Amino acid sequence: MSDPDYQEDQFGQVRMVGRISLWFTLVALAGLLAIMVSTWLAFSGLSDSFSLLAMNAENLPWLMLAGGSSLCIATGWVTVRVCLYSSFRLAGPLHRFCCSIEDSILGRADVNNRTRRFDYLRDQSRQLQAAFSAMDAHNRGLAARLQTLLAELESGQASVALVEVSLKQLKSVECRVQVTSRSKSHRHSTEEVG
Amino acid sequence: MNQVETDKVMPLGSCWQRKTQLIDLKLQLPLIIAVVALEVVILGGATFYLYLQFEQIFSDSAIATDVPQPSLLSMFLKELGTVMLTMSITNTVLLLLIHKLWLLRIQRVLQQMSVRLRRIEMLDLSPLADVVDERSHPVLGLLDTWRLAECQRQEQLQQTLSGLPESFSRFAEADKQKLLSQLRRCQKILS
Repeated sequence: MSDPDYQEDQFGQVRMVGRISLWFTLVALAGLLAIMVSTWLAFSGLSDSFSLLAMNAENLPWLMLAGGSSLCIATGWVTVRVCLYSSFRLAGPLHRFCCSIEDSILGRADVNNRTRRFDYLRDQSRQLQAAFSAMDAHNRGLAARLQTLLAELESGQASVALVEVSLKQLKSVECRVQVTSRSKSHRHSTEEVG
Repeated sequence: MNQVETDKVMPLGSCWQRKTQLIDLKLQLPLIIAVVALEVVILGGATFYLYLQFEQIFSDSAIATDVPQPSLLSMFLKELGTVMLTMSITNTVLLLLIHKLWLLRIQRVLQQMSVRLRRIEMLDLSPLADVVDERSHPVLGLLDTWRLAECQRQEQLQQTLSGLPESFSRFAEADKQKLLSQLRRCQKILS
C-alpha cells in the first residue's frame, strides 16, 4: 500500500473532501445570506410598529424552517453529486473487477485489464490479471500435455516408457496446485503413515 | 442497411443523454449516506442556532425600539460569520474523519483481495483459514466463488490423475482403452 499509485489515490480522496467542503460552504453561505437578508428586510420594513414586529417575529420560525430545509436539500444534492463523481474512479475499477471475475466464472471470457487511463487501483488490476493468467497458464499447459498424450495413444505409436513418463509429468504438473491446506494434507499423510 | 442498424443501436442524440449510474452501491452508498447525513445535521444545527440568535435579536430590538438599522444588519452579519466559520471548520474536520473511515474500509477490501490474488497466483486454492473472511464487497465474494469452483475442478483432476497407474507391467488394449477414457475425462474436466 505504499506505492506511488496509492499515494495518488490518497491525494485524490483528500481533494474530494476539499471539494465537498468548498461546495458546502458556498451553498450554506448563499442560503444563509438569503435568509438573513430576507429576515432583515422584513424586519426593517415593519420596525415602526411594535405589534407588527411581534407578528413578524412569529413568522421567523417558518422562514427559518423553509430556508433551512431548502438549504439542506440543496447541500444534500450537491454532496451526492460530489461524492459520486469523486468516488467513481475507485468504485468503477472495483465494479469492473467484479464483471471480469463473473465472466470468468461463467466461462465467457478471460480476465483482462479493464481499468481506464485515469482510474485508481491499476496495481490491483495488474495483480488480478496476473493471478488469473497464472491459473490459466497452468490449465493450458496441462491441457496441452493431455492432448499430446492422447494423440500419441490414439495413433498407437506410444511406447510404455513414453506413456509412463508422460503420466508422471502430468501428475507432477497437477500437484503444483494446492487444493487443501498444508496442515490438513500433512495431517492426512501422517494418518496414512500411522 | 448499416445506417438502420446503427440507429437501432444508438438513437440519434443519445450521445448527449448522460445518465448517472450507481455502479458500485456497496462502496459508494455508505460514503454518500454518511456525508449527506453529516452535511444535513450540521446545516440543520447551524440554521437552528441562527434562528435562536435571530429571535434573540428580534426580542432585544422589540424592547429597545430605537435601535438603528445598520447595527441590526451588523449583528446579523456577525452571527452569520460566526456560524459560517464554525460550520466550515466542523464540516472539514468531520469530512476528513468520514473520509478516513471510508478509506480504511476500502483498504480492508483491497487487502483481502490482494491476499486472495497472491494465493491464486501461487496456484494455492486451499481454504482461507489464515485470512479473516470479511465479505464486505462483492469482489471478495466473487473471488471466493471463483476459487471454490476452480478448487473443485482441480480436486477432480487430481483425483482422476491419481487413479491412473504409475507403471504398466503390460500395455494391453484394455489398459490402453481404460487410460484413454480416463485421460479424456481429465480433458473434459479441464475444458
